[in-house]
Amino acid sequence: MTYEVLARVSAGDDLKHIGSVEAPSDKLARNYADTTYDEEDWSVMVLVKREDLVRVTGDVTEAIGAGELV
Amino acid sequence: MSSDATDDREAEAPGEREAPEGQLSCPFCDSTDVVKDSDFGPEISKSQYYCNFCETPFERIKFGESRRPETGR
Amino acid sequence: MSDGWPPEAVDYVQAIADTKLMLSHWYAEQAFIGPNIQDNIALFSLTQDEYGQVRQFFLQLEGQGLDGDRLRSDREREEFHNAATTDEPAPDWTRFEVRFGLTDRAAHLMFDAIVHDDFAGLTEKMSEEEYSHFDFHDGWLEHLADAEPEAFRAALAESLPDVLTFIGPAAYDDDTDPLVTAGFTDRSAAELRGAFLDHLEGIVEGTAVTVPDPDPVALEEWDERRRRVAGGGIGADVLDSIRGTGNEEFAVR
Repeated sequence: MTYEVLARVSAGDDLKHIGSVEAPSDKLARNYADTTYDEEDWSVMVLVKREDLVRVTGDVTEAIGAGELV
Repeated sequence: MSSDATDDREAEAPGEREAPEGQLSCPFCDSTDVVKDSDFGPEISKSQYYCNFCETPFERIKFGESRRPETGR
Repeated sequence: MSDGWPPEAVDYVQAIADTKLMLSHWYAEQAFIGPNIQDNIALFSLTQDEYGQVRQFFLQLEGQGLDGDRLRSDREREEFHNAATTDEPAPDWTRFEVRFGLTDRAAHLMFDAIVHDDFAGLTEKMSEEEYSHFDFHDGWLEHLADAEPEAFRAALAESLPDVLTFIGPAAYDDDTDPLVTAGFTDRSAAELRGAFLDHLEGIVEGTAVTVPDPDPVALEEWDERRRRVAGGGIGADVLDSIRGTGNEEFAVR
């Protein structure tokens, strides 16, 4: 499964999409995200399964192909 | 954000951040006279420190998180 | 305690160090082949942690009169006191995690029990590193127990006796474990076995895997130095790799 990683450095900052991880379970996804994206002391980091993204506008598949969500 | 936290952050020289007192000590001599050399160490999730007392470089898990495994104690 | 080590302590620390040396070796091998790139990154990190810890344990052993050069690079196969689970590479990822993930856990429980002053700051730092090891290993172990219960059960049946033999015989309790009675550790082999098995029960909870009945390990059959009941050990090719035999011609003297 692919998980999108969203994080912010300080309270009040925008939550930003910083990358993604591939993992077979939520627990491993947390471990991967925590260690892979360790460039900041994030105040918040959350994961969303890519399959749970609800499309509103635009083509998500195309966006992924263009590297926007990876 | 509290004013204390802001002051601490401004007082830090880049690349040489004083470890919070009482939180981090040298694993070799237990001295707290340690400085952070770099946020980034030789591997992921590690920062590089230097002990002024026993003059030894060492690394610790980043961002002062002191988490240890459950041992059932 | 802060005075000299009891005689059994040197063997105990060498067994932990040699086991970590082998963990470092197998982690390094696996770090090139996944399962995925994030595991590679994690495994390279685990490799470095383990080797760094080995270095510190060897320095402590040198302080007890052991020859450091010999420990590091000049030993024969039978002189390694590593856990039997770490003799050979794991043939697949499930067995890798069951063998080495659980051996790493056992080694942590063992060094965490050391209360001698020589280890005060060291074991604390090592435990911080081990936290990330178990976040990784337990994530995989829980997933594999759930996703591949048959393979997991077989791997556990294969490795659990050797892990428990490494921890020590069940007959060593607070009154009889020589390391506890000497004040070098504060948890007996019996207590550590219990803590290990409790943790393992937690990993397989809610899956089709059950923990097999643990073998108590007969005290009279147990080799206190090598912490195993049978012979065996690392292979000649593994020894060459650890000693860097193939790299010698490139060494600058």
